[in-house]
Amino acid sequence: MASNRDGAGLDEATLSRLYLKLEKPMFNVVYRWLWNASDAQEVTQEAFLKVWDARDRVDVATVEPLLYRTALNLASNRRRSARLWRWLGLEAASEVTSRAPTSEEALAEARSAERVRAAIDALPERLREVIMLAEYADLSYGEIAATLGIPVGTVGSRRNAALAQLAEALGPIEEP
Amino acid sequence: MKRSEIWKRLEPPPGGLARLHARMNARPGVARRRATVALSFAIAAAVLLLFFTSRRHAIDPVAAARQQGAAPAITLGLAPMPASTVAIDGDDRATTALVEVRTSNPRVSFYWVSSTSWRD
Repeated sequence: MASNRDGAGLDEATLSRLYLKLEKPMFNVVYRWLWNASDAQEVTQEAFLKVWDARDRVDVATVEPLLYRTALNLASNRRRSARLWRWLGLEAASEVTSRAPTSEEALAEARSAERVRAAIDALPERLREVIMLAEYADLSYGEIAATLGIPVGTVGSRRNAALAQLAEALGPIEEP
Repeated sequence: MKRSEIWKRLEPPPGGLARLHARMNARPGVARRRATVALSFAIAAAVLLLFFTSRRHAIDPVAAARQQGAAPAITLGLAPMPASTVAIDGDDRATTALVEVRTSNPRVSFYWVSSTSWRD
């Protein structure tokens, strides 16, 4: 992971650079928890705001794992509370598709997206964290281990388990 | 299923950085939030303190009777009635009141004995 100013505190310019760098991968990771673009962006920003509040105690060298960890915790909490509200019948289900499909191709694409969502949703959180950080954030095993506070070997085994579970639900995964 | 179908990358809503800066500026400072939390704790502590001190002033008749001496305790049945011989000397007869309190048992009577002269 990149280090902007090793050992120094976090300033606004550094935070802005980090946001530009991490916004898209973090948004994509968080989106797979919440399945709502607006919520995913809000949680991504909330992670940055929390780290900004603690900027005096933050080491820029380790801020990226901290940001990811914070975002994952926030996303997990929000998902849990959203489930609770839905269970209580006080909140509508989150967006599934943003628009109605207009052709057969679009319909097939929507169905495929729905299957992917169901398969990812069915992953236990400990597996989902690993596979999302590997696929969307492009983090190495070492970086994922540092982010989640688990051994590198565990990262590998959880990633394999996640892929196996996805293949079981979606069929063999073809490389492009 | 193709890998790209599973790991489709979405674009976040536009204007993210500007929104982040707006939220950073709108956010109250850490010191202010800490002060709010400290104030909330102080208010909660004051309410608890008031609650417990007001409870302490509530009168517990049994405890009060025990503290104040034998007469209330006897009235509440917490202490046995003392039985003793009372002798009134000739000099004290003018300043002693004696009242017989009859009970339902004709063989049992109580006598309230008290001095009518005030002494510290």
